[in-house]
Formats: sequence, structure tokens, C-alpha cells
Amino acid sequence: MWDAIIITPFINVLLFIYSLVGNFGIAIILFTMLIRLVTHPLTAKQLKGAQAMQEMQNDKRYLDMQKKYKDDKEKLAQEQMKLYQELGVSPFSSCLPTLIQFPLIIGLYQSVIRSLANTPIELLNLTRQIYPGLLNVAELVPLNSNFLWMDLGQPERLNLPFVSFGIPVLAVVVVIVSFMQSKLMQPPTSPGNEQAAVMGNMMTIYMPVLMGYMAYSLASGLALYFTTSSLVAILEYALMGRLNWKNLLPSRGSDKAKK
Amino acid sequence: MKLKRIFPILLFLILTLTLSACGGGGQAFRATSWPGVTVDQDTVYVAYQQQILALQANNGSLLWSYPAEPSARQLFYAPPAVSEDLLIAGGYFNDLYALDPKTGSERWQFNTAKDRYIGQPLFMGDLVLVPNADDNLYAIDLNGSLQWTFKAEEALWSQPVLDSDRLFVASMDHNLYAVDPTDGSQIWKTDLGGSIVSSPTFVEETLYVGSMAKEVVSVDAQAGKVLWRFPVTGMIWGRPSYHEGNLYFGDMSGTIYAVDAEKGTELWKVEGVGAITGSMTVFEDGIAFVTEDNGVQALSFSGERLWSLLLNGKLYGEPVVAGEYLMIPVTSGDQLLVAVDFSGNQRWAYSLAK
Repeated sequence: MWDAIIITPFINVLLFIYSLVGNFGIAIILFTMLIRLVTHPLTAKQLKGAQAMQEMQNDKRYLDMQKKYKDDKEKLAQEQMKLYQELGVSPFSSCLPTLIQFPLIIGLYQSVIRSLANTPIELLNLTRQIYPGLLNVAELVPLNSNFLWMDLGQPERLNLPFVSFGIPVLAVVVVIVSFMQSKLMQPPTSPGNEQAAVMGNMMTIYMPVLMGYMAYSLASGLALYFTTSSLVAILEYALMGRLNWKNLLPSRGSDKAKK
Repeated sequence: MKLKRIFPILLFLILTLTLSACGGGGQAFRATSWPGVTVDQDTVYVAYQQQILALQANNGSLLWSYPAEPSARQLFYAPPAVSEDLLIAGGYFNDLYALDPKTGSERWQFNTAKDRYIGQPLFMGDLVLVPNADDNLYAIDLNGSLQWTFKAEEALWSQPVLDSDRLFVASMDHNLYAVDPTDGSQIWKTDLGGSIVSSPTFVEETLYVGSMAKEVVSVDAQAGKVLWRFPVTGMIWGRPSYHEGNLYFGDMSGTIYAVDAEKGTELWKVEGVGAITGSMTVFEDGIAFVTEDNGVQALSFSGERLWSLLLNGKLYGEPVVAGEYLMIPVTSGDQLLVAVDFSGNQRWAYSLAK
């Protein structure tokens, strides 16, 4: 079911792009951009919902009820629900688009992996997922998985003549870009919501580390996808005027937290 | 406060697990194939997952395993090559091992390749020729020193074939190559229009090759000129088998063909047997083959059904003759290897849990 609805169509679109451009690296970049473009309305809706929630959290009535009912969680929840209704804010408006996007992102990720089939069973499975009316397997296989200095089916290392080991350039790029994405897209913290701030700060460290580790150890095609996805997300937020450049300045951020 | 610190860590761990699962884990879990089987006299060698096993052909008892305990750093699927003194086995972590075929003890390693070993190596006098998915055919001496390499345009997944003064190499790059076995230089190459997963079959100065372009092609071994093409309905993963002037092969659409080797004309075909990813194995009564979901089957040389045996699991590759038995590799089943006699009766089975 998952394969028929998400993975197989994704693989076919990805390989169709590949058949046009003849380079799997460029196909991954274009396909990631395409998926981001298709899911842009959901991203915009999610941001709008998050903004509404944030404005509500800065509302005087909201702040008052946090103090007033700090020892009565049940009453606090009831009062918050009333305020949600009064202001027309849905607490799920920001997370529902994310939930819809999540399977698409996982699907994108899986379709990249499966298209890089480089073992007999993987290739066998891939040939069965290709729509014969759209693509010619005989012409398509083997995929040209070389992109710049990388073999997209292998973990990436840049070998330089004066260095005795391979440098994982793309893994470093993934860490930097993921960190920038997390920081730039982190919303300003509302007073009284320190837990979310702590969690957000920790995620800006953990997520880039996770992404970097995966980029270091798995096929570089995935690392290319991670990098493209993060850069496109940053661009998308920038075009909507939602980037928090101040978050990249640690000193000012910590001062603000102290206040 | 504790909860505030623990929650992100838990979330991080869940994300790690989720993304790892989505990606198929690591390289080890993504890299899958079917068991590689080689028979040498009364011993069957099976390369599967983290070990190479040596089994007694007449009863399936385990003689040795390498490594003795499964190791997460080794993964084997390529059928090993065996000579009197050496067993050569390539792994999915770019590693090649030379073992003592009697005891399984390690003699040496070769760690030059940059990709997986999928095809079976071939002994050629004092050299062993090893195809690798990094596009290279490595010629290594019996002490593990590299002598020469031949580089194709894409991955090599199949065992080369040796004539007296030429070596024939099929590649995933669509080409069939003739190579000088003394230094690895190219003599000729012919584009067959589709990836070639299996070895060519060489008979009397003619090569027969099946490809993913859904055809079997006959090629003149001297100059690489195409003699005839026989189109089929599905992709061909196995090598055509030759017997008394005829070729036998099956395709992914589930059809078995018998073709006149000289003229390339169809003699008969049997449809609907099930997807075939390997070759036909010639035995005394006819041809035996495995299908992905429909077990082991045998046909006479004139295409009549002789017998079939359904086994629990997926069957890929081909049966391998060991004395009076056919060795059937099983993937995703309870058993790893099943020995079947020439009448289609199961004689013994080796299970991984044994």
C-alpha cells in the first residue's frame, strides 16, 4: 500500500527526471525541489498556524492564566481551550500539515535509496517498480551514480593527494546546513514557554549530528538529498520572510533567555 | 527540569531509529542477495549473509564456517571459487578472502577494491580473476598480490569466462568485452543494449549472452560481431545453458525457451512457470530451474514437465549439481540450502538455525 501510493510513483518521477537530465545527482536535486514545491502550501499553512499560536501565547489573557492556574493544570487547559475558540486558533493547525508532509519526506528519502539499487535483489525490486509505459529499464540500468567527485551509491569521501585519508566533505556540509536550518527556522520563544525553548535548542544540536552521522555512513545520494532539502527549506522560509537571523548569534540569544 | 532534558534526548533517539529504519538501517541491512553456492567434489560451499559455510554434499552436515561466529563486519553473497588449495570469497564490504578449503582458516585478504563483490571469481593458472562492482576485474596471484586490472565502464556482477587465449567479461554497462588474459588489455567490446547480469556461455567460438534488454544474443568470439538476436518477453538474468546444439534459458516473465544455438530459432517454449532470475541447470534427464515463488521445476529436453517441488521461501539463482543431487539455495525461508535428487525428492536441508 505504502509502496503503491508513495514510493513507486516517487521512484518513477525521480527516474523520469534522471532520464531527462542523465545525471542522478541533478535528478535528486530537482526531485527534492519539486517535492518541496508541491508541499509548499502545507508549509505555508503550518507557518501560519504556528504564527497564530505564537501571537496567542503573547496575549495578555494567556499570560495571566498561566500564572493564575499554574497549580491547576486541568483548569488551565479548559481556559486555554476557551481562548483558542475565542481567538479562532486551532492548536492542531501547525502540526497537521507537518503530519501530512512527514510521509512525503520519508517517501522521498526511501525512493532515493531504492533507486540507488546496487545489489541483485535491490535491482530486481527496482525493475518491478518502474512503470514500463513511462521508462525503459534496459536504457535506464545501470544508473550513472557519479556526481562531481562522488559515487552517489557509496559514502562520500574526498581524497586529496596530500591527505592520507578521505575527507567526508558532504557530511560536514550536511551538519552545517542542518544546523543553520534548525537555527534559522526556530521561532522566537514566548515568555513562559521555556520548555519548548530548551527542547528547540537541544534539537538544533541533535538533529544536525544525526543527519551528519547518516551522511557520513550511508550512500552519498542521501547526503545530497539532505543538503538540498535543507537549503530549499531555508530558501522557502526566506521567501516567506520567516527566517530568524538573530538565532545565529548565540550571545544575543542567551541574553534574551536570561531576561 | 530533568524531564525537559530527557524529552529531547528521547525524541532524538526515536528520530534516529525512525530514519535508520526508513533507510533500511545501514549498508549491511541494505545489501542483500541470495545465497551463492559452489560445489567442489563432495563439498558444498555457501556464501550467505555473515558467513561462508562448508557442507558435506551427501548429507548436509556442517564441516566448517568462516568466520566461526557471524561477524557484523562481513557479508557474503558471491559464490566462492574453489581450487585444490584455496577458496576465494568476496564480500559486500569490499573485502576478498582466501581460505583453506579444507578447514576454512584464513590465508590472506585483498582490500584494494572499492565496491562489493557480487560475481564469482575464476581461477586461471596461477591467478584468480575477481570481478567487482567498482567496474574492475582484478587479477590476483595466489598469494594475494595484484597483477593487473581490467576496467569496464560500469559494475561487473558476473564470473568471467576463459578461452585459451581470451577472457570474456560481461558488464552491467551493456558491453561484452574480450580481454587479453596476460595483461588485462581489451581486445574488443560489443554493446548489447542492456545490462548483463550473468556470465556469457562460450561454445565453439561463439558466445551466448542474455541481457536486461529482453533478448539473448549470439556473438562471434573472434571479433565480437553479433550473429543473431532472440527477443523474449522478460528481462534475462541468467546465462543461457547449452546442451547438444540447443540453448535453454528463462526470463523474468516466467517463460522457458529452447533455441537452436546455431540459427537462433525457437524450438519450443513453456510459459507461466514463474519469474526466473538464474540459469537452467542441465542434468541427465533435462533441465532444472528455480522460480521466485513456484519452487524448483524440471523439464525434459523437449519441454515436457518432469517434476516440481515447492519450497518455503523465495528461490533465486540456479540449482547447482553436486553428485546425484541438485543444490537449491533458498532466500527468506526456514532453510538455507535444500538437496533435491534428480526425481524431485528432497533429500536433506540445511537450516540457518541448525
